[in-house]
Amino acid sequence: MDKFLTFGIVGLSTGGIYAVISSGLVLTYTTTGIFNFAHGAAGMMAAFAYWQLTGGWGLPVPIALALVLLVLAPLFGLLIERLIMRPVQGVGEVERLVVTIALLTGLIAMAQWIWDPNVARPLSPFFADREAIRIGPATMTWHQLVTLLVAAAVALGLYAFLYGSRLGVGMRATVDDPSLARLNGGDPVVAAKAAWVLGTMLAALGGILIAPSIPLDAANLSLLIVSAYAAAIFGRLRSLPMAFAGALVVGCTESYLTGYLPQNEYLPGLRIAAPALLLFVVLLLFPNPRVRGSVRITRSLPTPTIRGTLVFGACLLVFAAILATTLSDPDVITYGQIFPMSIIGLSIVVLTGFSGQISLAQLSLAGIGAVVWAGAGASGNPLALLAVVAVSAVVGAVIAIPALRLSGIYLALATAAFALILDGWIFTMPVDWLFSGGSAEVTPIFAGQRVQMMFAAAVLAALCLLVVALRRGFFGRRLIAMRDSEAACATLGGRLLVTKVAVFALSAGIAGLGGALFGMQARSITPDHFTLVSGLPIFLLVIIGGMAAVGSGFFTGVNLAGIMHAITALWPGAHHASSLLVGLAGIGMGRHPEGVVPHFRESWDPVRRFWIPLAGIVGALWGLRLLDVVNGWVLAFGAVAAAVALRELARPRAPKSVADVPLEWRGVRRPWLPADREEVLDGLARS
Amino acid sequence: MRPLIIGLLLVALTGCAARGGTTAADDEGGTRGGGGTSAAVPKTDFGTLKNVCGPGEAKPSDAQGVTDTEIKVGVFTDVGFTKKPDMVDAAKVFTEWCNAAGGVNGRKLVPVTHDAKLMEVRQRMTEACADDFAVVGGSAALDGQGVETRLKCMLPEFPAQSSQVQARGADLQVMPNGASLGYNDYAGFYSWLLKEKYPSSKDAVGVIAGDSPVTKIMVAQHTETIGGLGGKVAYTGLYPARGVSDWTPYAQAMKDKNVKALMFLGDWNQLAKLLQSLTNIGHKLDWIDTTNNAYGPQFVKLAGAALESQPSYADLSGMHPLEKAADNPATQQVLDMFERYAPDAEVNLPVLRAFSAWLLFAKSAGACDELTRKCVLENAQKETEWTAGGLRAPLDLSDPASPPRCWNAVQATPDGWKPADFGADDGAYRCEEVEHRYTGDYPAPLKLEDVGKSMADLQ
Repeated sequence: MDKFLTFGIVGLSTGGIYAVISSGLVLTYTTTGIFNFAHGAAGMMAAFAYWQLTGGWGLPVPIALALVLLVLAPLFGLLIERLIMRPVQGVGEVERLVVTIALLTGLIAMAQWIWDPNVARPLSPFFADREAIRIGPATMTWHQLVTLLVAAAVALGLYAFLYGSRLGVGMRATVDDPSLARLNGGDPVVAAKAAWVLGTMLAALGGILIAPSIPLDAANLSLLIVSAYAAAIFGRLRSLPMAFAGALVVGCTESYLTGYLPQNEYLPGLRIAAPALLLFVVLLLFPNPRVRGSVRITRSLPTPTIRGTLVFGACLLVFAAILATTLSDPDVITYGQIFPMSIIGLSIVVLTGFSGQISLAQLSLAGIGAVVWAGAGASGNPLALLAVVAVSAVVGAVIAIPALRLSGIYLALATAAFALILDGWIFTMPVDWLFSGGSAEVTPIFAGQRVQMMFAAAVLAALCLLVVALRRGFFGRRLIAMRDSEAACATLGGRLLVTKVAVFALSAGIAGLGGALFGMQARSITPDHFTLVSGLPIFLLVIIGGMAAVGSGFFTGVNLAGIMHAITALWPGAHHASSLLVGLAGIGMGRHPEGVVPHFRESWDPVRRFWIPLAGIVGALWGLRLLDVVNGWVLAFGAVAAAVALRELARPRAPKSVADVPLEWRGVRRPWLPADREEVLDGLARS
Repeated sequence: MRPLIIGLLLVALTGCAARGGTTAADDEGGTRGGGGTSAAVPKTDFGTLKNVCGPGEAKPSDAQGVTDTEIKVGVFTDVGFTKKPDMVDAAKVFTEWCNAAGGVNGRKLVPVTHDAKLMEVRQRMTEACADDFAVVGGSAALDGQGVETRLKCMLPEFPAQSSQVQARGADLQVMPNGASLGYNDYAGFYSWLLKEKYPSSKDAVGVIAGDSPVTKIMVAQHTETIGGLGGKVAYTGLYPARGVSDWTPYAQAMKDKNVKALMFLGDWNQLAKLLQSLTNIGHKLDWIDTTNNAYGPQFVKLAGAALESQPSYADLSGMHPLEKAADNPATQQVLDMFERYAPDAEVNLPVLRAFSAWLLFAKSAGACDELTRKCVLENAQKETEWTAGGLRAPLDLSDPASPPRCWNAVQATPDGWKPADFGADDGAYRCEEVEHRYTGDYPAPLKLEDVGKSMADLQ
């Protein structure tokens, strides 16, 4: 009993930290509808700023606290609201998710750039000089007590604010119905501003409270809050008291597991995966939400044509052939990853782009594929790829179980939890067929690196064709129907259950295949290749590329395994800049929700007329490279320059006219023309 | 226009940080022991090693990477990922010193940095295979990924340190700081802690490790070693590699199991916080093995006052501690050489290890009549009492599967690291016949046969 009590008290003090963090998370979600993955990162920035002021520049603690909590944090919140979050209010859930994930990676990259990770930054806890308080057999430090008190004060204060103050009520009204709130004199923009300011302040408070008890590390601090996510989910992201209770439950669970778990090789990992498991279970036990009835207005993308895909596939193969014949041996290993990465990206296109289901676990599924291949394909027999696809598809179908009940942000969290369980518990088990000893050796199908790369490119091209064929067929139309409105789809006789399981299995199979090919290219795989965190940039890039465009899989691969490497090869110092760029690009999503690839395709369409000269120039450069007359950079930049020049040449010239005068000024700034009537009517109809 | 604003903000913030950074860097100067003034560095000798580098008339050699005037040597590092330049610094300082003296038999050493950035070990090894004569004085965290490539191209390696089981003790490799394949390197250290210094801790050892397949093997090996030395592991805990939000539950679990001693196999940043949690809940351990990764001023700075109540030790596996450089001419010479060739760089334990590797290579290559890979490797393997000119305790390099005989330990105090009272009986070291041979089944390093080659292929 003594032990039980002791660990309970320890758990409560841990839970206090989660409570502060999760209350901020709940606040921003309830008032703006955005689940802020970067919440922890905001806290991290505050912790670093606090260190900079106290440890770095020697300001007294109260002044530093006031500066961070009352000046920097609110300013940062306002900045985020104005520059990043306001533009994404109108876009879909996936895009909003991506913006916050991008903010997370961007902030981590920025912090690592600014504060050298190799310098120790000690932060002392509050009241560190006071003797800890004894509560029976347990002890609680003053810092922990302060944390608990602050958590309680935050919960009460927020409750009073949201239900008692005019601004708070306005904020809640805005969530329920922005237009109705506006009719009653509320201002959604003010409410959103208040939410971001308060949310960031709470994140900063959490960051400063948690920072003294853990090492000041940008990535760790930003990602620790998975436990806080679990707590927030207890309150379904809406109820503050429930989130508070959830935080205490999570804290106690972690504490009791540390105290009571039997000691063997497999179970201690359970403690590590505990918050993720809790998150997963709570999401499963969620009351079933009604099928969403509202039709989301999604931009209808042109259906990809088989002919276009064939051309795309042929271009892929030519690209792979150029790479295979011109790159040096080490570069083939590095850039060869373009194609497996593209395949993993393609699996997200199918799942998120076509059917609207969010999964953050695609790279983990790729990891499963790679592990299966490392075991079953040890002889290099291509038939083992069938096993790879089968196993990953089955695991994918298992993930689909929560997906049957969840959607949007809840599904994203469930899949993130799944990925965390894999990389926190399963992948690190000392089992021979996993990563026992730190890494698993992988046998490629083709011994030659270059042939293997061509094979991966061929698989990618074939998968693109398959995906397009599916998209154009019955299954594809059903996926689109489900994405647009689940209720409408079900009403018209579409079976959601079968469709969801099928699309999850299909996409997991593709991801698994990508993982196996990734392993073959790398020859040796470690669990670090397949963590949730390494998977986030892939997800980001697919959405940036345009989640419904088949080409954005390749866009992801080229950026992640191609352009990023090329940048660091050309400018070794640009490492930080390139990871920051992904974040910035994601943050820009709000302005171009349709993605880069469709825009890209549109602007390059005219070049089709000039494909013969383009092929000629690229072919000539390739030939020169093969004869060793020019180097690889000349080939790369030359081909790009030729393509850009030809695009300029082929661009249809817009006829110069005076029609640039805005519609409402027609007849005022220039004489009225008969054709204007039609344009004005057209404009009115559109507004 | 908006992205521009973000860009500007960024520049402003980095500007501030740069200033913060310099103050932090100043503090780090503490690593360097006394004797900051640029003393005269011996020209060709290093410690007790005479004429390591110097002019000479070398026979022509047709080995890869060797010309009449140069030897190209690869240096592995993860600096692009970890931002720790120790291997690059060590290579720069040693080769500049050596080349100033005349090189190896008149040939200049040309260090070629291979930055694996954690994940690109195989690519960099492929490059090394294409150009280098040998790989010297480097390290990469995932070095196991490059062994197969290296063995296929018969490239000898003298790494400063090696981490993965596939790499450590593999063929065509001489570990200048001991491979102790099949043995626990710290048996003497643990034996001293368990049997002499703190006998009451014998049955109450705890192990906490960062969660990864690599550390799980280490946990098994250390548990076995404690058992073999007559002790008992009473508690094993794992923490997630991405960190823990609160160490108190772990500290409480150790208190609950009445754990008296702790082996911590993980990030020392985390250990510093665990020590503070232990101190907070009032549980005082007899000893903590911090591992020598923590050996440096940063750990002391982070752990602070907690070190007073939690005695923390690290086994330096026979490397002379930097704090006592004044007592050891070889260590002092490293400091002086850094003062001269890279005054801003930090001298730490990995740097000393890299120096041991460079010295072994330079000595072995210098003794070759005609410079070949085979000759260098064989010369290095002839060293049965390798001390790196006095940088470290003697070590037998002829067999990777031999236990280390001598060891030394340091203790972390709030004022910094200092030699522990471990009963040195051979100068600064303790040499004895305590060993633990592993009985468990652990992955073995890669052999030439595994890639279809044999020693006969070595030229």
